[in-house]
Amino acid sequence: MSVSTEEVKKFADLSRIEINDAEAEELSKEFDSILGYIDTIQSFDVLEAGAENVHLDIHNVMRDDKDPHEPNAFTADLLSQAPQKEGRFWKVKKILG
Amino acid sequence: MEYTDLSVRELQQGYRAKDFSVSEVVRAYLDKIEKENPTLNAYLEVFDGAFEYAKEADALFLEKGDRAPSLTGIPVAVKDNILIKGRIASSASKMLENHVAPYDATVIKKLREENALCIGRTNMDEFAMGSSTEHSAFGPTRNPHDPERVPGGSSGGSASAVAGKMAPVALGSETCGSIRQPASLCGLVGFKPTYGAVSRSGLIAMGSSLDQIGPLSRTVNDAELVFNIIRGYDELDATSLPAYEPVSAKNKRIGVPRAFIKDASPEVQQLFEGNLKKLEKEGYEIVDIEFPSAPYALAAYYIVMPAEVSTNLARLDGVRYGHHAPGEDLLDEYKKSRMEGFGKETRRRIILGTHILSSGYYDAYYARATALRGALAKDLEKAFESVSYIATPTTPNVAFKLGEKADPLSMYLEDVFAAPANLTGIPAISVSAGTIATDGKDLPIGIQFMSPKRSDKSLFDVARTLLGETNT
Repeated sequence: MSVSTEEVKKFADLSRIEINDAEAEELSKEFDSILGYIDTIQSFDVLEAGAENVHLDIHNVMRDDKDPHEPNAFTADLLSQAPQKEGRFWKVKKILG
Repeated sequence: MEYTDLSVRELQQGYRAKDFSVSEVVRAYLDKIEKENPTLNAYLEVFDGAFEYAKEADALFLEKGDRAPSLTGIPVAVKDNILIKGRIASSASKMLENHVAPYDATVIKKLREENALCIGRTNMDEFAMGSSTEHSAFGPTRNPHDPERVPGGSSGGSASAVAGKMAPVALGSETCGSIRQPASLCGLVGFKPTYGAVSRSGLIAMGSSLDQIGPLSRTVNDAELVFNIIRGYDELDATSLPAYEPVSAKNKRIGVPRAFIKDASPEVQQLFEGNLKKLEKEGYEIVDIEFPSAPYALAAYYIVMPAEVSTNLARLDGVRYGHHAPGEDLLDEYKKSRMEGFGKETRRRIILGTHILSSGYYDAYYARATALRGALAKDLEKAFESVSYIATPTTPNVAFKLGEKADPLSMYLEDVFAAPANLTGIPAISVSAGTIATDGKDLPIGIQFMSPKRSDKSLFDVARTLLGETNT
């Protein structure tokens, strides 16, 4: 399966990563060889193997929705890592026009 | 005798017998790091405060003697994707270059309870993506056995630190072979626990259905000792296994999937067979087994992993933390921040994962890979009805030279023998099988043993026998 340069750009866009033409072209070629290898999986008959999900013995562990922490208990710690902030908020560019 | 040659166990005994002090040992390690690290680049940062810690540890031994916590005076090197409160945890990425951890990972809490010294953070492939530690944003790490060669990856800094005697033991993490492969290429013991045995709270996520934290060490006993300290149920990790006592093997039969291991180099296969003979002399029985799904495991991994990477790394948007690049609007800022913050291999895997998860490809890729994981588990279940272990070479070849594997696929194939254990959640260990003379250097190579889930202890037993260690 091959992925064109245009498709690579589309997937990069969906991934929220800016890429230039040279990288898109390079990735298109690399994806050819990587997807060529990945496609070997098609030749193994999983249906005949009767396979099921491997993590059947693992279940999500949920926490009860109670005992919340004090408001703002972690705000200062977490905001200390923010590239841009104002007061006790993250600062972002305007989303709605 | 150099202090830096001693194992964790020997250090523990030496402190308690008053043969030497923590201050002397810490001084020896810092000197060693100062001497070796400029060449090897194993550590990204050596933490301050080691001497103050050493003084307190020596006072603690005076006061409490044998009752001092078990890891008092033991330096531990920590992979840069494990959070230590107040320290930078960058995952060797420009994206998190200045990211200060707001809390301790559970494994760090457990090491602290035993009073270990987290001596520094080690280099790695960016966000644990790679098999050579060449994909670090902060320069490659080199192999102490031949600095022209890679230490493996992604836990290459941890492996180089322990093999280069800059730490007696280190923590690494695995998504597919990232502890075992560097252990193999650096002549160490590398252990990947049962999925869910060790909490991943505070591990920067890569592939959440695969990731596990584990030790790299120079002896099997040290790997087991550290595993027993860091394991255990943790309510902060939603995939944590209920508490269990790792069990021993039910018999001494080792299965070898010969059709699967034919891709290893002839020299590696020869050394592998020699190791099996050694185990036969120790009373183990070697039998051939079928493992028909195994050759497809790595292909399934290169579907599951990029898919999970593309979702896990979506949180890094340059808004809440991490690298921020100014742009025209919010979308532009996301795209520029992620372009500048992520290295080439990380961008490659995120975009590949987005492709794999895109509409129309789900059945051909993700659903099929999930089914193949089931087929692997089924093959293993059948094999483990008669054998207690499955053995393969850890890696197909000895350490390669920096820059040798420029093509991404050739790098990916390094992990062909690692994939089955990660995809099915079983534990696996790599120990040194010996060395192969290459270009005038003796380069180490590992042998790997896998065993059923929760039978972690059995792997330490067979590894000890092979290396001639006793558990006393």
